[in-house]
Amino acid sequence: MLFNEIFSEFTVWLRDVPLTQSDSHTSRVVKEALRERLDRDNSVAVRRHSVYHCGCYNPLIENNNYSFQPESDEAMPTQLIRILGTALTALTGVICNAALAAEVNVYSSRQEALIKPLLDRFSEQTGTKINLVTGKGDALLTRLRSEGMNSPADILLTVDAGRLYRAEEAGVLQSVSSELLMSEVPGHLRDPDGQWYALSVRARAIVYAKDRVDPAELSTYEALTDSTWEGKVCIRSSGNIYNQSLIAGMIATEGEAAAESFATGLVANFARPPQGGDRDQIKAVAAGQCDVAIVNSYYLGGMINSGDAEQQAAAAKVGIFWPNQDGRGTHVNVSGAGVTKSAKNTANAVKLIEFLANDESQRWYAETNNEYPVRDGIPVSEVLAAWGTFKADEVPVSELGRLNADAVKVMDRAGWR
Amino acid sequence: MGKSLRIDKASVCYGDVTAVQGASLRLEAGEIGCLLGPSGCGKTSLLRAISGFQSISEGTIEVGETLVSSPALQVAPEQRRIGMVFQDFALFPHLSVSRNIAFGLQALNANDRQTTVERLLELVSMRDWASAMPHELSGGQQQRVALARALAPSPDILLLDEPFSSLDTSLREQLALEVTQLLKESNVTAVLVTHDQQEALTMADTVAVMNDGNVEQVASPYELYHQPRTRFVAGFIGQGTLLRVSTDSTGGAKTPVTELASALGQLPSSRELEVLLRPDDVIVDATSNCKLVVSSVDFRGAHSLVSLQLPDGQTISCNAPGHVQVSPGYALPVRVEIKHKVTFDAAEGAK
Amino acid sequence: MALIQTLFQALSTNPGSTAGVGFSRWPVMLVITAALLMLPIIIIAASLALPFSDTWRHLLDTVIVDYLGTSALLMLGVGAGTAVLGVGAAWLTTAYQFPGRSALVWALLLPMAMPAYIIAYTYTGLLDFSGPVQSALRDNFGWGYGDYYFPQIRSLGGAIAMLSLVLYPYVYLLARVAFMEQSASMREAARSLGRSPTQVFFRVALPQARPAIVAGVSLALMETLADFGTVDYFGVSAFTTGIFRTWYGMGELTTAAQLSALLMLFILVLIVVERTSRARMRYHQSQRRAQRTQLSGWRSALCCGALVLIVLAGFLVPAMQLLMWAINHWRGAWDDQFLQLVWNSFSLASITAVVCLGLSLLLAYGQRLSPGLIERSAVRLAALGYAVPGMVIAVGVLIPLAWLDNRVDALAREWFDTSTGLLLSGTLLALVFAYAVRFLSVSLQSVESGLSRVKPTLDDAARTLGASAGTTLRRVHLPILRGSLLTALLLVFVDVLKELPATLILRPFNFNTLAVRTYELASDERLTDAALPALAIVIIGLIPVILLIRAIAEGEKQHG
Repeated sequence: MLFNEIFSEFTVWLRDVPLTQSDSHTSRVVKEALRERLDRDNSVAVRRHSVYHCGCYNPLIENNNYSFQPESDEAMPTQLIRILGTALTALTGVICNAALAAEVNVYSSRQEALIKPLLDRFSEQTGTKINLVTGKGDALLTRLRSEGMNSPADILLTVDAGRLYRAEEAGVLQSVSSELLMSEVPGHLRDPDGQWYALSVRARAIVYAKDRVDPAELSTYEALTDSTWEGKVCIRSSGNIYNQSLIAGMIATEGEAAAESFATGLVANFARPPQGGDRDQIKAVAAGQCDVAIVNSYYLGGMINSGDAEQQAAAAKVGIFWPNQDGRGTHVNVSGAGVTKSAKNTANAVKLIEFLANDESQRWYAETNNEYPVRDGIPVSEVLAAWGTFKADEVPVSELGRLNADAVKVMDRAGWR
Repeated sequence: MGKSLRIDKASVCYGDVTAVQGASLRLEAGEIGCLLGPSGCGKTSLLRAISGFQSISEGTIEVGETLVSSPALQVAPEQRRIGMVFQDFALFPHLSVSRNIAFGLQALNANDRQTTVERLLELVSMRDWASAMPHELSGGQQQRVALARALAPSPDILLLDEPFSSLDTSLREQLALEVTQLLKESNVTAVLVTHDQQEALTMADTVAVMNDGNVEQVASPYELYHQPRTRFVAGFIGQGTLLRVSTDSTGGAKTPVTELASALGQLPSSRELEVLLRPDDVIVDATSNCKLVVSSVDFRGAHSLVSLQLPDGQTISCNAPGHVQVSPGYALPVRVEIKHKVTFDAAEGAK
Repeated sequence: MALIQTLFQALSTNPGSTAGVGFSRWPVMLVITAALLMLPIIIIAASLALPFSDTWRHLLDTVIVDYLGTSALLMLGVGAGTAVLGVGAAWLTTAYQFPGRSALVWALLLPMAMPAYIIAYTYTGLLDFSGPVQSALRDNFGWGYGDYYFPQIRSLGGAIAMLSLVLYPYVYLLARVAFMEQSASMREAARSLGRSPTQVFFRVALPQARPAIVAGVSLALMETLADFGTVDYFGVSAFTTGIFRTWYGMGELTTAAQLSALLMLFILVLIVVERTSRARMRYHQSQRRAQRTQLSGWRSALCCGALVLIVLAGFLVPAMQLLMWAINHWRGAWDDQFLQLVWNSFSLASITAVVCLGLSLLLAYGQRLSPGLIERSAVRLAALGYAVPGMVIAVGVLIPLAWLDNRVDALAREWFDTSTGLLLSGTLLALVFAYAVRFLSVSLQSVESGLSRVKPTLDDAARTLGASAGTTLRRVHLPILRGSLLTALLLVFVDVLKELPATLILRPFNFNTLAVRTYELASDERLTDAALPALAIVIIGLIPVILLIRAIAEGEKQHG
């Protein structure tokens, strides 16, 4: 299949001689005529993007009866480049997929399973093809930066505010103004310049062992540093982005010293060295290794919905508690998206982000992954409804990104592995 | 049909180390030459320079009329038409005997290749082993296959690198004769590298004796034995003693053994000399009144190598017929007959 | 000046550099190829020339000592673990005859198909506090948390155990070949001099097999140093943790690259030390191979039992766990794309394996033809990528390719008023290139050790028979090296298949593999859902392992 694709791209290229590379008068005339026609035919759903003219099949050109034979007065370098281009295209045929104008190319650190269904629905509704690459946020950002203005990416999608902030800092995003997005995404969940918009909210909650902990004993994150919790707290390693943003949020509101004393105090109460993921912390609470754990709420939802008896049994043994309700609120992070500066398909890209923020998509996040919608009034899943509503920390999520590196250093100093 | 080989003042260097210094050797088409010398003398380096594996830093190497090596030029080994038989035979372990022999015959069509392979199998009497794998053969058989393989493409020159050293002695002598005969039949120009003088003297038309990177002498085996030009060659080829003698103003040898003095005859006057005395120059003769004391006896069957002590303490050796029974202490009557008088200046030797 | 002179001398004293016909092409090709492969490594190393940020002070003050210490312990542990398991298994299966031996010979290779992070997932699932084993203990004996001792699976010791269990086959493979090729007379000589069989092993067999064992262990150690999946999951703060924390957590790519560069420097020192220590060793082909000693009674049961245990722990238990998860949860990972994933993984691994083999042959053979200092250093540097985490390599590939693409594009715009876009970035070519940089070492080791066992006179013989260097490679070396080449192909194939999808940051749009699917599900903590693609990786990985097994079986037949 893979080879077939490359091969067919190659044969198509052989039939299609690029106009733009010929300098002769005749072909320039042809080129201009075609440009005009392309401009007129803007409504055509599928066509080549003129910039990405790397030898892809162009139905419009094939319909014309012009002769595109290489001409004798053609400069040698041009021919050379064409031959080189042929070879390269044969090897790199896949990138031609990126050439359709009615396509949107997405770099996503949200994993495929948690975004593809929505993208597919968008494609169905609009006829726009979505191309997807998933990977670690920072790696995608590095790729975006080094590709520069030629990057095929139209949208960068991340699962935390820090990466959006870094992308903004790196200057790879552009401001887009969309009334729809402005009205649907609350102010603290989007970039003031409109460079990115949050698409879902992830809350970091406390889970407790129902049989050993009375929820009345719980109040704030900070309260877990009390000596009564010594040897009873589970949390994953400080390498985890949500722990980093939790601390970053504290630095933003309470200051660095307070955040550090929290980190130090929490480390002193660890039941075990940090290990595993959030689900493992929940399982450890259920199994009795610790009494409380700080986890993202959707992992508990995922266990309840897992269809796995063992996981469901574990989830049933724990309760969820929303901390800091009397103060700044429970810490939240977001997943979000922005349009890249190099975007060739800006309009469609904005449409896609709008689609991801619409009611239907927002409901999907809640139902599929137990994340919270970015705004109130969206019906949520049964599981989320059962957990009730909570007050979320409204510190601008861009602050979380700005303070992320400081948070890591605070945790390093606290000895939080 | 072989071609001539001309090595003219060739030097081989490895970094700062000079392995061969200005070596020259000429072989006419069909001649068998030999590079003879102790290990480390540079003979293998010179061989590798001829075959094209080693570049030369000075001089030239020509095959026929064609220049193949100079400091500026190094024709690749595969383009020289120089065949080689390796010390360890280097038979391709994954190929049968006949396919080993056919390896160098890529240019021929299948029929001709088959014919050539069969001819060579016949030549080395290995017809029955055509489909055997190399590890199924004995050492001597491997040797024959290696030779056949090297001869198959009818090379202009054939190089043999210590070809018999991994075989046992009895086999070695027999094979040396066989191979010489084969080489002569194929009329190929050959260069043999060996440290075994017997092999060299048996096989070669021309021998180049090498020592410490230098070619000491190029000559026929007979000439090398009887007219060594350097002290090293005299000592390296055959047995013999360099006898120190002083001469008086008339050129007569000052020695208490008159037999010896008369055999040496006229020598350069008033000099300290060293005279090469071969064991066959000293003949047991019951009629002689020159009797020398036997110091040791090395019995070799047909003859004995007997060491005789001169009154001044030096020893000379003598080839005594095997039936002459002597033991140390016995005074043996001998006669001295020097056919080829070889002398060196003793002062030069001290240098 | 002196250095430059030495370099020139090194070049000029080998026959390859003189103006021979068809002779000088190889070193040139070698140096160009090595330079290309070195590019990402140079990019990373170049980070050392950039200013060191304040983060360094922070790292030095807080965590770096911890990272270094942990990595050192990890290396020691995995080094010892793979050496004991690999050499032990190789010795027992080559020196002794016992029931089940021939089956164990190949079964011992199975763990090779098991990615380290996947075996880590399965053992955590089994042995964790909340897992079935400990839960069953608690239920049976009425214990609670803290009432009993149970080894912590997610710990440094656990990581050492996991990595040793899946990496020992490298040592086993190489040591086995070395033991099999040792001559019987050497061991008999030792016995006749009054040594016991144990002493023969330690004093004769082991020292002779040292180059092979060192090569195997160094592969395992390089993989250990590059590992991120296992240590991250186990919460073990190794050096790679530091690299990624600095990059992801603090957003300091430069500092992360500097850390990686130091890691490479360390590896380079290790390699040089290792090379020098065995510079004087030569392989010998022996005529007569040793006979296996028949074991009987409890000895044979013990021997068989120990080896079965290794296979059980390294393959059967985790594979059964995966299978159970996959049967119960296959819906979580199955979709109509799944077969495409299988095909993508398979074809990507195949292409890379072939590419790596080709490059290794070029480098190893080029080096054989002209073993100058420049050539040797170039090859060693080009093979450094194995010790570097895939994600860091990816960055090293990304930067120069994108730069080149953008230059070509700019020129095209200037000269022809057209845009070429990105020709190489985001293509399979870039991906295969990155894998080649990362896994070259694996195939190179195999090809080099194979070549070193071919007598140099065979090359000379072929050349004097009119074969060019290239023809000699094709007609003499390739047929003789068949086994080594196959091994090289298969090792790279399995490695690409197992590689965490980190490197896949370079991939084209919509191109997914089994490793991506597995990793994404696992990183979302859906381990049971990840079992199906993980199992698929193991099964596809088994194909080459089985091929290797057949090659080994044939080898045994030939050697008797």
